[in-house]
Amino acid sequence: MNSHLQQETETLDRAVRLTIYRHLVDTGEAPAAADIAKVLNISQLIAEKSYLRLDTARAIVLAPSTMNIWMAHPFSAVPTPYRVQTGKRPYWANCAWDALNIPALLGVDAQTVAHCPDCGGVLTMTIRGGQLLSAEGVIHFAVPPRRFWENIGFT
Amino acid sequence: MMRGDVISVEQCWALAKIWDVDRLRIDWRRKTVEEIEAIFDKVGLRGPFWSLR
Repeated sequence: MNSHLQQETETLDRAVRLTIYRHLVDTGEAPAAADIAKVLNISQLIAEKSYLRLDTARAIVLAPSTMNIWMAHPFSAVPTPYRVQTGKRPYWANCAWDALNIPALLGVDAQTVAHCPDCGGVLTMTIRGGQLLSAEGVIHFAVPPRRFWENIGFT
Repeated sequence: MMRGDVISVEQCWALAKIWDVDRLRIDWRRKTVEEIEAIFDKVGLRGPFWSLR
């Protein structure tokens, strides 16, 4: 790929990625490539190719063998044990850590009540005004960070 | 079987406040190993489990 084309591709991918995130923040749901194509006035095929590049670059995670966004960290596009209630709207997080990453990213108040899938213990986390107000439980990292992406679904 | 590691919610909140806050910027990029190591160190996540190498 020549440098001019590569630069255009990178610019497009940055716009697609940000548009995906803006849609997720506004709606709580992940957009289809067709939705992004409309917003950016590009073809669906170009949007899908961008989705694949963003997936390869680990900027988003597509569900296996599909063009559907599964994760756009810290958001999950599918229900998980981590429902983050915010003043803006509820979101699904991928894990307990991401349940804290969402209010940190958005700068909003949030509360998450989750049951640990490992031990069954209740995890409650409340963020208000940028402060952690209440916290019961601990956060278990089963996979070391250097191996997060070996199986990001399990992580 | 991996035993993993357990951290407090307070420590995880400290991590969250500096980890992903640039995701909504157009110029977001994945962090380098060195940047991740610096963040982990800043919030006290140290030792073999948190080592990236």
